[in-house]
Amino acid sequence: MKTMKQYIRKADIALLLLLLLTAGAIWLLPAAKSRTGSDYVQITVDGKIYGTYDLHRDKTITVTQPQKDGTTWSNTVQIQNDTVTMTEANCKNQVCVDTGTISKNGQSIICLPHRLAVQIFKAEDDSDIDAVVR
Amino acid sequence: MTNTQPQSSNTNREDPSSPAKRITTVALLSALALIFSYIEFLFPFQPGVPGVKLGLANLVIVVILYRMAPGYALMVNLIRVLLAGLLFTGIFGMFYSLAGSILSFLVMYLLKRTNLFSIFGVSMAGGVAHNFGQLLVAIFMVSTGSLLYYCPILIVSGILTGIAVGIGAFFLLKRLPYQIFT
Repeated sequence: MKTMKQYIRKADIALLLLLLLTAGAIWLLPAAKSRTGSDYVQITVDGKIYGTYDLHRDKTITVTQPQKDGTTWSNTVQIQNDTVTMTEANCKNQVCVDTGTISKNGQSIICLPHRLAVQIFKAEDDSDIDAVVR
Repeated sequence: MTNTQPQSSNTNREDPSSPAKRITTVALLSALALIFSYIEFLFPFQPGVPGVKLGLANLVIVVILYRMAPGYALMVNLIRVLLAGLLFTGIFGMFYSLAGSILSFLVMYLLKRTNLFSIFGVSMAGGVAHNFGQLLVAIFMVSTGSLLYYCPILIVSGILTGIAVGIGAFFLLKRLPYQIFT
């Protein structure tokens, strides 16, 4: 094995370190981390994006929509332990509240009377559909 | 292999520009590379990570690169990928291998020409380039950048397999008599 060692050049080591550094740098990139870091919850009102929130940061959001007739539509969305729940809504049918808790990619809570939708987007697709290319 | 050939035929073998000789050489080496692909197809060395392969056929390419004109390495590469694609891996696999092996060949050829690297460094870079080429095709086909997080795994596996191939080629080059390449 001694003979093999003698053949190794400085440039080999430099290239090895460079490649390892590149691999490490990409590993630490926020974009590369996104599979665990950037799962987010998006709330849309009337088809327009109301707000985007981190799925991993506990938060309670109350969306209020003042109406012409003086009433105010209100929905309360709670993000807790990587799950999303519509805890409160003053809509007629309460379907959104009854939907319960969602946590998977693509799942959504929809409040039709208030034209409000909450949807989970995960960077790492953990839905049942996998991308397979052979 | 060399022993079976009568000494008298050496006079014909000396002409390197003969098309017939070049065709036979490429055909022989392609068959050899194809056998390596087949062995890998039969006994896949896959340590749990998809897309990570040893790349035994690269051994042939590296040896050719160090003993013969680079054109041979490229030709053997192309023929090997086409045949292995049709026989084992399928058309999609062929695109991956094609991108990987061409990129790998180019990188190894250029690095070797700089005369700065040993066979281990050249082969290591080739392994990484091979994986990188395949990743590019994958990004193009799935059309998503999220495959980027796969990069570090592929770089490290390319380093390891590349060095393994380099060590193999190193000993092969030491043992194989020079004459069989002329």
